[in-house]
Amino acid sequence: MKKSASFFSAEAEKKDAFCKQVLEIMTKQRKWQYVGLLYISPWLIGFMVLTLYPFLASVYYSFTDYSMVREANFVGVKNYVDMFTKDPDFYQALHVTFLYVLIAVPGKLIIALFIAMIMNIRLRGIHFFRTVYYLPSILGGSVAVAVLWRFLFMRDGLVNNVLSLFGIPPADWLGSPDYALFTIALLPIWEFGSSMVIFLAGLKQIPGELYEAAKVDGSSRVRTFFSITLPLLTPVILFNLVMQTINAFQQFTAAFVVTNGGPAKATYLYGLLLYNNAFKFFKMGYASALSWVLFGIIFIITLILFKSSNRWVYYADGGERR
Amino acid sequence: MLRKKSIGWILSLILVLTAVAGCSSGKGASGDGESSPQGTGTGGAAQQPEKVTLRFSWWGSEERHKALLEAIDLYMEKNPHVTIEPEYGGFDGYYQKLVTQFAGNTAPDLTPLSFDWIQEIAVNGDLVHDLFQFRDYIDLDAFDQNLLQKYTVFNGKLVGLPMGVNGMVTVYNKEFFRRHNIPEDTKWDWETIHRIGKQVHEQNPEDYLLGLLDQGIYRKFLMPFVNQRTGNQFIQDDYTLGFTVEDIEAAFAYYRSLLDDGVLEPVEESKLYSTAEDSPKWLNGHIGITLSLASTIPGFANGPEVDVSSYPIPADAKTSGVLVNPSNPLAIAKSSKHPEEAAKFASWLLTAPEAAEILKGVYSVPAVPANMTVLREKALINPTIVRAVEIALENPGDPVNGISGNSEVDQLATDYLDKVAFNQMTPRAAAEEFVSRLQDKLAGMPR
Repeated sequence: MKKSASFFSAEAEKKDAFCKQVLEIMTKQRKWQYVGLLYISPWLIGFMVLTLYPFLASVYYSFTDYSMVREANFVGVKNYVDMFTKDPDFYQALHVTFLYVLIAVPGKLIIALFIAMIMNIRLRGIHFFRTVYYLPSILGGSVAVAVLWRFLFMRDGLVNNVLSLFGIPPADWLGSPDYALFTIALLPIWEFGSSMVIFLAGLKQIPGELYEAAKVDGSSRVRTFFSITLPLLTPVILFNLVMQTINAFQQFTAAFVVTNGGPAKATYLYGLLLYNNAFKFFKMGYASALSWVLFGIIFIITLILFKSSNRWVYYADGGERR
Repeated sequence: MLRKKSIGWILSLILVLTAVAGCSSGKGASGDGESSPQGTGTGGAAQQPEKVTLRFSWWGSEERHKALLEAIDLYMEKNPHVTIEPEYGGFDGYYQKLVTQFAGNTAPDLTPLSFDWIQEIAVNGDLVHDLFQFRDYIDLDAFDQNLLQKYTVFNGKLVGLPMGVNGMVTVYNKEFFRRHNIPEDTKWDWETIHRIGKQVHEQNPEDYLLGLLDQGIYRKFLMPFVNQRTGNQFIQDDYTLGFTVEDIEAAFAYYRSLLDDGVLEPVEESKLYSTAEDSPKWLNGHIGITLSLASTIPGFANGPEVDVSSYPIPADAKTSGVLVNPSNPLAIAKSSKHPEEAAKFASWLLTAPEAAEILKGVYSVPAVPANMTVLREKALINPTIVRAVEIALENPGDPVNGISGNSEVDQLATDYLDKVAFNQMTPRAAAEEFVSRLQDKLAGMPR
């Protein structure tokens, strides 16, 4: 009995010594870093397999003529050259996408800010309204809403019916190349909820004494808005602007479901061009190249926004320049 | 302290291991299901048939799903060693899914191929079996031989078994014809459509003779119109054009005149619907005729009463241009582990009278003449569909070759028809640009 006990204690000592050794090594190598990695490894593996690998593979495929049903052949920069020299659809898509971004992003930010200001008023039951105005964002992006959009704006749809009450003749909101892009852009504008919530948080941050001081000095509401609210909100505006711009460049659902790029390519967004090449024509190599060009465009525009922010964003604490 | 840490370590190790084990065990299970022995049934070892599982995938309507499921159950009852796993859904995204499955080597054993996929999957991709290989298991003699040879053999290979016969016809609203005093037996050609259509619209500005809609305009209008003038394939087998700029210009100009003279429903309104039978104008009886495949006739049931007549053919046409095709050749993937069993099932499904009685008209009219007779005698099939197919087969156009059915060609043609429709280009300018871009595209396409 005693013998076995000593055997176990010897074993235990050995184990302890081993553990100590391990621990020592680990300490040297910032062990907690590894423990942390271990904990997040399920996510990490998912990220590497489902995001990083496809991401890197698309770099390779963008230099090939991969079509899914046939072997990929290396074709050098042909896909990139073709895009700029042989594909008028590429330019059409760029044109439509930039126009779309120019309509949808400012539209969404202005509406979101406007509603956020209203939601900032102390009223009974304001929480209820905040929820209601956030609803479109929960529904947003879904195919069902896009289909609904079609019914609202078709020739015999609700919008035309309501307009006719005021004697306005019906328009082909989605069938005419002149209006279609605008109608499509209304869909994301309507989903202003997340930007609104962020604006609301930004509004709450503005110190009340500034408004009191303005009141004492007899400043008008408009003046207060442009001299206090807007400057103090610029960091939040920058954030929303960057996020919404990135999103807008990647818009796909609305154009795909509601108009499928038509009429006459008036809503042929870049996402749709990408989708058609990848999943309609199965030119996966070309589609990969297109997606990298889109990445480049978004990257440059984001960079420009950040660079320009030095000129127009106001940080109460001086920001990075402190 | 030390113990606490080692416990922590052990717990996290367990967490990781279960996560990993969870993944791998799932894989193992699905792998087991597929790894039944290969190469059975090649010889005469038919006494104790090996248990096999086949995956059969298709798209279609609810009616089609029900019929196919019933047929599958009957087959499994008769052949207890075969298990058939059905995979079915709508047409949207089916092709995308199928190609992904082919690329990942997980394609179903059996799948119908839409006509415009044959070039990519069967000819270029070489992903499905030549079914002549399995003639011992398939009752090929039962099929309409002309149809089989003409429409499902590519480069000497039988890419699939025709599940039915389909053809393009003129579908008309009977009440509309009565209202405008149009005789039902009018022999339509493009000129007549224009002339009568103009009168109709002048009589009642709300009415349009033709509802020829966006999706499929290339196959329904442009390709046949041009082929009738040239007698060629739209794009020849050597990837040169089967037409001149003038031919295309004539088609574009005719299309423009239909819109200008109120013959065709305005594109601003028709753009939002993919088929005539779904558009409010058709349902409300404001459209007289549409061009459609026989297989789509059941979809007209919700609207005005319809009948069918021949697709428009001009008197001086060099070929009728009437699109006839087997609806969805049923193909067997090369990745299938039991192609012989798949072939046996496919043969039974399409040739056995009992199967035909279950399938009825879900794939248009059967491609097996004997079954067609049975269905007609027992009144199991919509007589309008039968008549539509008969009308189309009276004067069939040449089978469309693979490259003419290419989706990029289709898209480009549709784009330029749009530019003409929305007055963004004159027919001449559109024709010239279309031809030059098409030639560019064809030059860059792998053969």
